[in-house]
Amino acid sequence: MASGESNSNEIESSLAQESSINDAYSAPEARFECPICLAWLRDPVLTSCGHRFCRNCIYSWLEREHACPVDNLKLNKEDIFPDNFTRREISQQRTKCPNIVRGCLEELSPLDVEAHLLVCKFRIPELPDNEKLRCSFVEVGCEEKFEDEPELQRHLDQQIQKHLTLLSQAYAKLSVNNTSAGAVASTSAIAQQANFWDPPPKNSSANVPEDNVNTLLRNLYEKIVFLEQKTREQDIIIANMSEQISSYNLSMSKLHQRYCDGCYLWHCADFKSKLNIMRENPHVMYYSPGFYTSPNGYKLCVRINLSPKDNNYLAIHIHVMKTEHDLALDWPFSGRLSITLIHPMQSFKSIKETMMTRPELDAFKRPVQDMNPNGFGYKEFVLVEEIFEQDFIENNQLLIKIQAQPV
Amino acid sequence: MANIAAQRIKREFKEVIKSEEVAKCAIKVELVNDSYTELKGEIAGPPDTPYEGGTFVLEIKVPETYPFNPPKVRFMTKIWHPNISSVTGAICLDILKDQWAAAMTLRTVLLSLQALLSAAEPDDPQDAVVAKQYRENLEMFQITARHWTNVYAGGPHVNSDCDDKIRRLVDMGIEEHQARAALSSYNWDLERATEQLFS
Repeated sequence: MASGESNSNEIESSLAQESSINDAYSAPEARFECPICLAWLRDPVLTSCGHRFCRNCIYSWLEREHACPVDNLKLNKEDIFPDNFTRREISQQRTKCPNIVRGCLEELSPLDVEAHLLVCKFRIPELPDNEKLRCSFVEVGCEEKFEDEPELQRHLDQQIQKHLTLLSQAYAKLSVNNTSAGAVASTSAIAQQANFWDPPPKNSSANVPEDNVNTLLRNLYEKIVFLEQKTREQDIIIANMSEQISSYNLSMSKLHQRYCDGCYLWHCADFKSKLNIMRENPHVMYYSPGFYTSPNGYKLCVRINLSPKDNNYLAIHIHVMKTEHDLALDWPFSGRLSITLIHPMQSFKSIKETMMTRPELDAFKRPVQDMNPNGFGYKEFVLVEEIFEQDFIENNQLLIKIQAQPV
Repeated sequence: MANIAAQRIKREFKEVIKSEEVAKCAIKVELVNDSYTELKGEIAGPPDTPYEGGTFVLEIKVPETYPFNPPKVRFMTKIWHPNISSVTGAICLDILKDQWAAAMTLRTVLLSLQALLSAAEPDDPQDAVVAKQYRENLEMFQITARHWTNVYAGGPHVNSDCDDKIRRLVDMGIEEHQARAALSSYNWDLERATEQLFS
C-alpha cells in the first residue's frame, strides 16, 4: 500500500489524462475490438479468413448466416479457432477505473471494467448541491432539489397543492408590504400606470379628498393615451395620403403629355451640366418625355445632343415612339413638325424651324422598338455659344417647344 | 432491448458523431428516444445528381437482435428514386436485407444509401413506375427527381413548369402531393394525369 503522499501525487498526474483513459475504455484499439459488438474482444477467436471476434458474437452470427461479417467469405463453425495469443495480450492490458478522478485506484483488465463500474465505491456521486436543479417555486420557499429534469417535472406535477399554498402566502406578504410602505413608494411606475386603467370605485362619493390628485393623474393619463393613439392614426392617414398624392402627381404629368395636342414644351433642366457631360462624351444624348399629337395620336419625343460633325452646334431631333394604339394610326407618320428654341425674355429672339415629314424616311415608319432609332431634325440647330450669348438659358434651363400636326 | 444492441448503438453513435462525414455535413444521426431503439438519420443529396442540395431524413429502427439483423431504415423525406418507394419510403438495398453483415454500422449504412442515390439500380426496383421512367426517359426522370428534391428536401432547383401543372390540378380540387405523384408517373403529361385522377 502506497503512502498517503504518493497517493495524492498519482491522482494528480492521472487527472490530466482522464479523458484519454475514458476514450481507451470506450473504444479499444482496432486489433482488440470485436467488429460485431465493437467492444473489447471477449474469448477472442480467429477465423480462417483472418478476422477476430468474440466467441459468443461470431457464434450467434453463424447461427443466422454462413459468411464472415467482415468480408462476406463463406464461414462455418469449423473454420474458427481460439486466439489465445490475443486473449493473453488483452489480459495483460490494464486500464484504470474511469472513476480515478474521484479516487478509485483500481487497475483492471479492460474486460472487467464494466462489471467493476457497477460496484465501484467511487461511482459518480449525487450531484453537488449547487449543481442540482432547484424547484421553480424556490422564490416562494420550496427548497426541494433534483438530479435531473424528469425528476423536477414529477415534483412539479405532484406538489401543485403545496406550491399554491406557498404562492398565496407570498402574495399575502406582498400586499401587506404594499400598504405599509405606502402605495406610491413601493409600486413601480408600470404598476401605477396599470392602476389608472382600473375601473373607478363604485362608491365614488366616499372618495377622500387626497384622492383628487390621483383622479387628476388618471384623467391626464387617459387623455395622453387617447392622444397618442390618435397621433398614430393620423400619422397613418397622412402617410397614405401623401402616397396617394405622389401617385396622382405621376399620372397627372403623364396626362399633361397625353393631352398637349401635339404642342409640347420641354423644360430641359440643369442644361449646363448636361452640356458638360455631352462635351466629355459626344455619344451622350438627352431625350424629353414622350408626348402625343392627340390623346390617341402619335407619340413623339425630342432629343438634344452635340452635333457629331461639329460639336459647337447643338442638334435637335424628333423621334417617333411606340404606343399601344399604333395599329389604329396611319403609317408612315406624315405632317408638319416645328421646333422652337424659346427665348425666355424676348420672344422675337426665339428660333423656330418648321419642316414637313418625308414618307420615305425610316424615322416616320411605325416603330418596332420603344422608339424609332432614326430621328428627324437638325444636326446643327444652333451654336452652343449663341445659346449663352443670347441668354436662352434661364435658371439653368433650356426651353424647347415642339408643334406636331399630322396631316 | 438486448444489452449488446444498445451498447453497440451507443458506440456507433459516437463513431458517426466523430466521423469526418459529419464534419462535412454529409451524414448525421440523432437519437429519437432514450433507449437507442429508434434513431433519425440524415444524408445530404450527393453532388452531380438530381438530389444535390437536398437533405433526406431517414427513420432508423434498431431491432433487438442488432447487429445480427440489419436495422430497419426508411426514407421519411419523399424521394423519386427507382430503388425507393415514392409512397412509403421503403428502400430496396441488399445490405439492408440478405447482404447485411454484423460488421456494418450506422455509418456504413448511411454512406451506402448516399451511394445508392448517386447510382440507382433500376433492374432491382422498389418503385416500378420510377424505374420504368428511369429506363425509358432518363431526362424526364432527372427533372422529376430534381423537382421532388426541391419540394420535399429543400433542394435549390425550382421548376416552374412542374409547379404550374400541379397548380392546375390543385385548382381542380386535387390534393397537392396526389397531383404531383400523378404527374410524375405520367411524365408530366397533364391530360393523362387528369384522366387517371378522375377515372
